[in-house]
Amino acid sequence: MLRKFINKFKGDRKYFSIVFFILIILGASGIITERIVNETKKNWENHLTQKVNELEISVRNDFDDKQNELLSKLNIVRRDLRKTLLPENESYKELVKLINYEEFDNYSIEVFAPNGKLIAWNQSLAINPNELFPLNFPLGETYFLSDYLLTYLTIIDTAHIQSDIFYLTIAKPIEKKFSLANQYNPTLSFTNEVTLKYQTEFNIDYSPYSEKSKDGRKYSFELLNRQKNKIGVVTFVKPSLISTINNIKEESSKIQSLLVFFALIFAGLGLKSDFKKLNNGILKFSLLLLYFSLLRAILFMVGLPSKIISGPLTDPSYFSSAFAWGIVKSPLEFLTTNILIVILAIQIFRYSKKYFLFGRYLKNKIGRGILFIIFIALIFLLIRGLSAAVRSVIFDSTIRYFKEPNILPDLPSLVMNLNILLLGFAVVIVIAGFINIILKLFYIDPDKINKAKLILILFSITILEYIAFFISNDPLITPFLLAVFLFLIFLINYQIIFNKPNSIYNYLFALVIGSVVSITLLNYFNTKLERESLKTTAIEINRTDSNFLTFMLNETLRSANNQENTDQFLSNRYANFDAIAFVLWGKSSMQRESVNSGIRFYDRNQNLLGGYQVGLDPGKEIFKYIKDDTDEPTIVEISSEDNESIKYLDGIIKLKERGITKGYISAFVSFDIESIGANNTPDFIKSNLSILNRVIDVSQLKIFQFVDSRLSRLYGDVYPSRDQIKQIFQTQIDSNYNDAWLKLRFEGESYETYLFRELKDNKEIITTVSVAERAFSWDLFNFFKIFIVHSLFIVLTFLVILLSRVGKLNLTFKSKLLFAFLFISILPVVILALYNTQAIKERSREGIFNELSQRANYVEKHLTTQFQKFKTRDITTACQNAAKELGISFALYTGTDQLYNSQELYNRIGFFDTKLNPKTYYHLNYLRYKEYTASEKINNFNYDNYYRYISINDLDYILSVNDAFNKIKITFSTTEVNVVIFGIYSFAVIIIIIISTFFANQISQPIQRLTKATEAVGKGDLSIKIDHNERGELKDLLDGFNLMTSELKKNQMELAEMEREAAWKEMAKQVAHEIKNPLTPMKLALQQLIISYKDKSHDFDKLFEKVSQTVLHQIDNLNQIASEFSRFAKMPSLKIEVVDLVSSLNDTVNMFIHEKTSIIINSKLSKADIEADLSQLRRLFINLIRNSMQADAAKITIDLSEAGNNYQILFSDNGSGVNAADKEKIFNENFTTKKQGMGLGLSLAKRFLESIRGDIKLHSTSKSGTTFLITIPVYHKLSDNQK
Amino acid sequence: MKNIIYIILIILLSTVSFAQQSNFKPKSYPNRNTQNDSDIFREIENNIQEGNISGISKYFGQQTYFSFSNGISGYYSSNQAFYVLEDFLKVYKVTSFQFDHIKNDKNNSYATGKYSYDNRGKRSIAQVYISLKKIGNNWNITQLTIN
Repeated sequence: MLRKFINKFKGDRKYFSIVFFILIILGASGIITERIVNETKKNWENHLTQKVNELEISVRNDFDDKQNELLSKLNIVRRDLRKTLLPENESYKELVKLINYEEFDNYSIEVFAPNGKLIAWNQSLAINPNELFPLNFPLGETYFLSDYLLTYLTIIDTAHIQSDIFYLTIAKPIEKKFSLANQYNPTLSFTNEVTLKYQTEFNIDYSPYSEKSKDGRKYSFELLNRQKNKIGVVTFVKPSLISTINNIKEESSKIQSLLVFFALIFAGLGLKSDFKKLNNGILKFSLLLLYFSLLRAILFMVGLPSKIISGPLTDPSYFSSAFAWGIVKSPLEFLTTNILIVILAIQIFRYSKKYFLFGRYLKNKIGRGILFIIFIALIFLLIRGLSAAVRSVIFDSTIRYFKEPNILPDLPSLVMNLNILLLGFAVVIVIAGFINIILKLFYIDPDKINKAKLILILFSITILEYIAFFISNDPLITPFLLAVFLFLIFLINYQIIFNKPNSIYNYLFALVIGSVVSITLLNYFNTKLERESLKTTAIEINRTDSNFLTFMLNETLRSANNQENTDQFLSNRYANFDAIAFVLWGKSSMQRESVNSGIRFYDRNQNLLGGYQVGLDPGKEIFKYIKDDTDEPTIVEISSEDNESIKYLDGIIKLKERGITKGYISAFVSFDIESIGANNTPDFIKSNLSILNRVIDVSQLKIFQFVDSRLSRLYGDVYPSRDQIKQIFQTQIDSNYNDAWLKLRFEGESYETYLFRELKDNKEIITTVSVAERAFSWDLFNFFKIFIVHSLFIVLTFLVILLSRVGKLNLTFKSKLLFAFLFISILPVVILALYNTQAIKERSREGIFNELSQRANYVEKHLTTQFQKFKTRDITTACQNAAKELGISFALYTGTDQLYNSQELYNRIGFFDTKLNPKTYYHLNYLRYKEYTASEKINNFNYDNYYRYISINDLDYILSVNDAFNKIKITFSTTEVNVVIFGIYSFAVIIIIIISTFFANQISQPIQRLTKATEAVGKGDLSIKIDHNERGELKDLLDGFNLMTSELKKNQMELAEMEREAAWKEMAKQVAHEIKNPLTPMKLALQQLIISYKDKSHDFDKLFEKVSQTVLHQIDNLNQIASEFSRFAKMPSLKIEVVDLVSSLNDTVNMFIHEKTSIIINSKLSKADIEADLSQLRRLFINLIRNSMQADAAKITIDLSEAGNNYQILFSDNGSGVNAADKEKIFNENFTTKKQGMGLGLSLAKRFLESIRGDIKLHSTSKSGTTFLITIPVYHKLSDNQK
Repeated sequence: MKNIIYIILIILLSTVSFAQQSNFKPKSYPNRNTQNDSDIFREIENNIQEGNISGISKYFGQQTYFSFSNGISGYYSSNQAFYVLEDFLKVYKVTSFQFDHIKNDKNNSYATGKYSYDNRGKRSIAQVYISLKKIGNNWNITQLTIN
């Protein structure tokens, strides 16, 4: 049995040859790797020299690319400069406009007039306009320009316009010196770029005065500009032998993994044709399951695809589950697993559908019962499995699917969305498949649906699933969701049963349902996560204790002390200590934790040199605690001068050079409930990696902390009432976890509350975190947020299906209709969506404009009022007062230079320029706008800045208020509006596609049937009749067609009758004529014989012999005439040719495609050549099909197979069958059971088949159907020799 | 043939049942309850030295806070924490690790130490902070900071 089965798998030689070839390469790769390793070891010195040279050349090339890019931009600017500074242009308006085009967004450009005045610039300024001269480097040469935050690759050059010399500078950031852990600050580092690219540690000193490294383990070379002048030094660690060998082995392992993968794929392809030949669906599925399991296991073992594709898709923080030993440990691994799951799910769906439509009913009642229970359990487990997977997708991921800032999420989130969709789709089609099998177990006949029985079965399934739900300890789904889930899946089964079972669009339908189901579950578990985030918040509040803060300060101070150049800065009295402190802070864990903190520098006399701080402004108390006898950091807890209840940790460390204290670095930090969500830190600075910032809006929380039963701290705008405090302390606390859940009411609204108890330093600390129940965001907004992404995948699938069927579609009436529907309905939807988005964007901008303009009004009014009261007050003091009293951040400009900024610290650090925004300058100065809102950017953080001319004390200023520091509230963000608009419209588009397909089918179906029927008439089948329920013109058309065919048939019969009659008459005449001819001589001879007999003639004997001869001769003549007539009456001569039985069967069956009876051809043969008369053969099949239909058959199955030298056709129907008494007569001529039949069909069929050495037999017949067995010899093409 | 059907169904049933598992339990450690915090810190120290993630992950609670110098920062589920730490230790290969300070407490203990590592041939030292919290009878790692 096994051998027989194995023998079936002979494989495709072509693919197996490839597999064999791959296996040889695989084996060889191991030997080659070993050889390369040995060769590398042996000639290591040469290899090292070569490798070092290669690295140098590569890095030089990379740098040259950057230089060339900068030069090309410089040339463009120079061209623009010449074009716009023609004498006829009276201003620099066009120049300002041109250099602020998007193509220069990553560059800093400045243009100076011959008098040294800055006349045009774009975005941030790399070179301080006042520091252009003396030039740092010769004109036209690239060099590195560094400040505390960035290093730029720069060129200063001139442009000669007539007799004037203009200076122009162009700079592009090449190295960012600070880092902030948030999405607005991508890393920008040429050093990192080459380190990652060449897998060795690089260090680039961007100074022409830097020296080469003297460390023997490192290699240095000079970076030269195009004029071959040194502008920097690159140093890299020479590759070690061990790391080189490890790299070789790693690369080899990657190649081998790929080879294994391809070997498996080609082995699969090699077995594909044998696999297709298998009849048993279950066996086929088992083999497929085995193959894919093996494929996945091997992929996992060899580390594919993670080994080849690195980056965020393989980052486990985006998603990782330990399910099945880690086959879903990253978004990419999850996707790989899902693709294989989907393929298997589709197979289950296909096999179950085939079983439902054509499978045999299972008779064993116990077996059916067991299978039913198993399938019910499987369905529930699948639903629960999907829920468990979606829960893991939510809880085991840092992606906050519903809080993505953009309408189209980033790559990891996009892939996770696809994963959820695929998983939902797979589970939906597998469950639909299982329901198909259950229906078959209950004898639901797809051809004769008993609707009441069907509803009863589906109802029973629902009830049993609910029983499973209530039995389950943790069903992971709500009863409502279970009902929705089952209902949607039943819709797919409805589509299969009542509409088109084999339509490829069923998968599209399943995809939509899979999407709806998975998003609903995602939403459900997201609310659970939001609830859990209260717990996380309470843990977070208690996590950041003084131990951790002390560690943080200790580590920051030590790291700052060890930082290169820190002590050198102290010797430089012009050093920007604000920027240095900011860079140190950004790299420390204080930024990552987003706590109130800062770093400051002091000189040896304890004078403040500069610093950076957020949310905390300590004094110099720390110096009271500093000890002379230690160089270690001193860290103490200090109470704030303003408010003693506010405590913070302050630390200090001496900065020494050769044992002499040159200054101090102080770091300080505090953690308070108010720090939750880092409200004191500007958005572009704070870390948003903390889960707190992303799961739930922290501003909606109400937090109370009690120490030894007394309220010590709170967050939010409410104090707890006495009753609420009582409720909190009376709550039963879990003794293991020291926590509890309760509901508190604030202002009549219910708040979900998490209570957490902690024992610290013998004090009982109780923390409660509450959020309004309505804040749990389970709504349509969330649904659409994900559905937009899913709909993109769904529409993409639809397009792929459409494109894959373009050849088959051939722009039929139906496809034209579908395209017309889609075009007409989707176009307005898209236009409407775009229009609405634009309108809302305008409204949103208007909202921002109003908010900022209102704040500008307050500032202007405040400043004006101050000057009305105190005329001599200086403008800076007035601005400081306004900022402090109004709490509004703003800046004031005179001309294009900044006069005041309430966020001066960020100016000093170098985050903002003191020059007016160039686009604002263009609009206010050249276009004469009174006010202007500019979209500005700090790294990737976008914000709006409102500018307005104001007049104070008869002097003109430009006032600016932005939303980077002033938090404004607009009703809806653009993303939120986009989600609603595109979410609803994408849903509408999917519904339109489904409805359009349905209507296109409905409308085109009668036309398609008419086309097929016309084809059948063309082929001579006049018995065809189109049954329909149409109304209107279509009814008239179809009725007209039916009338036409019936009339044609009637006329044909009458004509045939007349022809037959005429033929008979003619034949009778001919027969009479022909018969008369021999009769006359016979009569004459016999008369002669009679006379001779009467005369008793003596020649009688002689005459008798002669007459007898004559009569016999004439009888022969008569016989010959009869034979001639018989031959004449024979069937028309056959036109024998080579005919393909498969296509002939298909053609014939296609003629009946719109009949109620379903006709299925089962054959593994793609071609079956016989010798026959094609028209007779078709007539034979038409006769058989018509007979079956007239016997009320709902289904006809035609099984074509090859048996020895014959083809066998088993022609089966489920009609009323042949009576036992008639079995023997059916092939007789003139035998018929039909009222209008002539009894010729089967006799003619038999005669025709016999004429081509074939046969037809009644194989079996009963009341449930009849089967005919037809055999026809296989046509063997003769070779030339045989011919 | 019917037997094949039953076998397939059993395979499917067991596969689907396996999919129900949602919480990662690396291994069973019966002695976990009886250990004191100092022993756990020593065990963690050894496991970090050996790069044995399973030995550390058994102390992960439902949510563990990670803050690493490569930008990783936030609360991670036990499933995520396992692979996040595994990835970190793969890139920053430990050359030596030792706690230099351990503070024991009845419910909340912590330790700090030095983590020497090799990152693409570049050797460096990071400071480590680990805090443990007693939940019921078990100690869980609540925070791991590597700067």
